[in-house]
Amino acid sequence: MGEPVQSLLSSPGVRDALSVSELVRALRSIVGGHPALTDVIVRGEVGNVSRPASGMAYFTLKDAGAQLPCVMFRAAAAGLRFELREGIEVLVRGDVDVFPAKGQAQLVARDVRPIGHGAFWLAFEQVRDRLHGEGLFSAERKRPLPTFPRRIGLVTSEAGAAMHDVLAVLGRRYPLAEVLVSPCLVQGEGAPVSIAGALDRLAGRVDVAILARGGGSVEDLWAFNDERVARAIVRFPVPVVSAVGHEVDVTIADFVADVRAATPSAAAELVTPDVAEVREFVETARANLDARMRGAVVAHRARLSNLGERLRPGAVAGRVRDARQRLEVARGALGREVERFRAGVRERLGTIARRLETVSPIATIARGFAVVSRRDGILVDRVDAVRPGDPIGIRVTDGTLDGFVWAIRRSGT
Amino acid sequence: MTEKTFEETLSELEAKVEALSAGHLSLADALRTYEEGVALVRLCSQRLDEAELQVGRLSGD
Repeated sequence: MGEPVQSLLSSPGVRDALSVSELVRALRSIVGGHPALTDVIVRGEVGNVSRPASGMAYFTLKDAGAQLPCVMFRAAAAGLRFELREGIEVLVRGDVDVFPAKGQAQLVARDVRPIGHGAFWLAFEQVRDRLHGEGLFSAERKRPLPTFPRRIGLVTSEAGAAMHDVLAVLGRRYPLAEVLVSPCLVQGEGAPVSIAGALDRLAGRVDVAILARGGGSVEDLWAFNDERVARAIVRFPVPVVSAVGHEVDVTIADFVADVRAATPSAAAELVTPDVAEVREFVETARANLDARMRGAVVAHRARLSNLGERLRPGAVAGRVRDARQRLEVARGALGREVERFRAGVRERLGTIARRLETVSPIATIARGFAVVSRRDGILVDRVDAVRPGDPIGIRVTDGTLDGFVWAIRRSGT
Repeated sequence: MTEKTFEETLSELEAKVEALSAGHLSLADALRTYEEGVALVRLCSQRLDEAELQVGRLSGD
């Protein structure tokens, strides 16, 4: 049509023009509530997820050729049991409506379910992967259980059989302990917050805690896969033993707990020593005490008899004998010294004696001279010493000749 | 006086046995240690005999 714009504006159409709101309202009145667009189930892939603080959830649902904005109001979004993530295949149930502010058709989702995995499994995987990524499942985080717990915390439902099972085992195995029950909801909407709160209240009051719940369906046990429960276990100051459901049931709580027990009863056994074993321990200590005491007595007796041995009279006599022997040796040595001295003296004496002999008049006599003496012993060394007729003694080598002076002759006259 | 915990009593008993095993105690000390040990054994046994599980309850919020 070749008519200029000018003519359209100047035509009576200006007065009849719809406002945008009117048009969108008209569109909305047709789309909203249309049977073909109400309570539809759509299959598609999630994209462009946005979860503002308002609690609403926005995403797009798409396939190879088209896409549609989706919105979830707060109540519906809070009921999601998994995290909406881009790329997952979902079934969305809801109603198509027009969002006036954008003039856009959108799907108001009442429920979203993942295809293939199932919502529970997907949520499980998501929480598991996230916590695993934070290292909360690592073996180094696992704390050892106390050997002799003084206070044992029990987080469970007061209505459940798990509590009675745990208390029965604890009472039988280790009645020395004190149990502090922190009751909580174990299933349903409020269970995760209730469990986390019950755990937090126990903090600082116990040496170890058991988180227990009896068996049930995956849905029944679902609270134990909740991230809030997992984080409460992680921040609990002492070891936590998880015992949720039966042996085949594995929950996120089991991954973050310090120890996983197959059942609540097993958890009670894990956290306590058997009183029979404790008795045995005490008995062993008693036996050891006796043995060590006997050992100590034997050792002291051995020392005593060793000392006695050294004090024995025979031992003293021996030492006297030793002393005496040493004395004898000394004495012998002394004797020999004396002897040697004596011999020396003797030898010198002999020498002197021999020299004496050489100078002795006796020796002269021996050479043939004689010594003449008067009766009074005076040696006659000149003729004047005697008168004729005087008795004299003439001494020769081997004796004395007695005689009288016969005559006197003077020499040289 | 606060009562010793069972675990403390047990560790004390263990320590007595250790001290006796080490063998450097005088005879008088050894005898005293032994007697203390035997008293601890008696205490432990008694507490095991008398023990009864105590259950408390934390109220929710």
